[in-house]
Amino acid sequence: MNMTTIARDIIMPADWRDFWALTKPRVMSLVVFTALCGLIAAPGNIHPVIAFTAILCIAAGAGASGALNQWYEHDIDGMMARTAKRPLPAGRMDRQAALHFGVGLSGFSVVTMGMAVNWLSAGLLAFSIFFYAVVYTIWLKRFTAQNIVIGGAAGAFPPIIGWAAVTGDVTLLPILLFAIIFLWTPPHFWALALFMKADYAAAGVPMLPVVAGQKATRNQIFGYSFPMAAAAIAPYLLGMTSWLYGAAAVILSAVFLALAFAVWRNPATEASAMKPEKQLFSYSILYLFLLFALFAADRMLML
Amino acid sequence: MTLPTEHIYTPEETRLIRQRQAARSKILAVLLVGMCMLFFGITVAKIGYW
Repeated sequence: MNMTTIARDIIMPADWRDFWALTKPRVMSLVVFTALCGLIAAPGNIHPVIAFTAILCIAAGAGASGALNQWYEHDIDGMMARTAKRPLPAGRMDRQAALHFGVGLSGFSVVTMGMAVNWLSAGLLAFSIFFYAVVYTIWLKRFTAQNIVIGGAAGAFPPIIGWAAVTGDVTLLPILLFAIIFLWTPPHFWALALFMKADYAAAGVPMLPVVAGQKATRNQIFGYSFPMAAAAIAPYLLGMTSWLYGAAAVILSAVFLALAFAVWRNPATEASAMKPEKQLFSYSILYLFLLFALFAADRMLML
Repeated sequence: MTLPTEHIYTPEETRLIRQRQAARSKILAVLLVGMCMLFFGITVAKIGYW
């Protein structure tokens, strides 16, 4: 690389769309949605402006986590086809700018949450950012095949934060919501990792299919689907929702288990023959959206 | 090390830089106005009356 290229790369200001891309908007939408469901499901009243502020802070915190993740992973992102076009590996943004953006957005989200909403939700938000950026991204992801199992906790915090924003405490129900997302994360990500195995292997990321093989990963996907389904149905069994959510949870989870079973039976080793894995990955996103939407609707009707 | 200022930009690069700076400034302005409105709203909500 000559100096002209270096000078151009460094001086050219990043487009605002690149900052937006740093926040991982699609991940942020799921985070915002689950947090909103936690907030709606919580008993008690919250001023609409404060509720809006809480969701905005959770969105900003998720965006900050995404930016810090991309700041640290710029090297491995460049080795994977799925992530190579992100602003940092594509050379559209200075790495320092991504770090400043991530840290600044983290600070803004936590301080605003604390001052406008309450300090319990701010503390939970700060911990979830730390967990995703440091525990998952910097430590677990390159160190162990259990990276997304433990790291999944970071993505499971939003409904607890939404709940805490209303009530100022954490009870069994938001912990169950946490458990649903926590147990949903391994089958969701391992389905993706199965058909993206070559990418992860090229980048040296010890995802389960790379380290333990595809058969072991399929066993784990099917195995995790059962406690996930149990956690999804638990709010109804414990009398915290009506039959509406209970029936929806049973049906949605049954479809999830059927797709996980198809993955378990699939002997394919090539990504092109992994239709069940792709179906499970797509359905898992729909599953979480529908489950949480129905949960929030059910609680609104009950309250 | 070559200082960044030693690079002479082409007219096309200069136009692109100005375009991006202008776009970022507009986004920042919108965000600042939004924050002012948000903090005003939070204050009103916390106090409980106009």
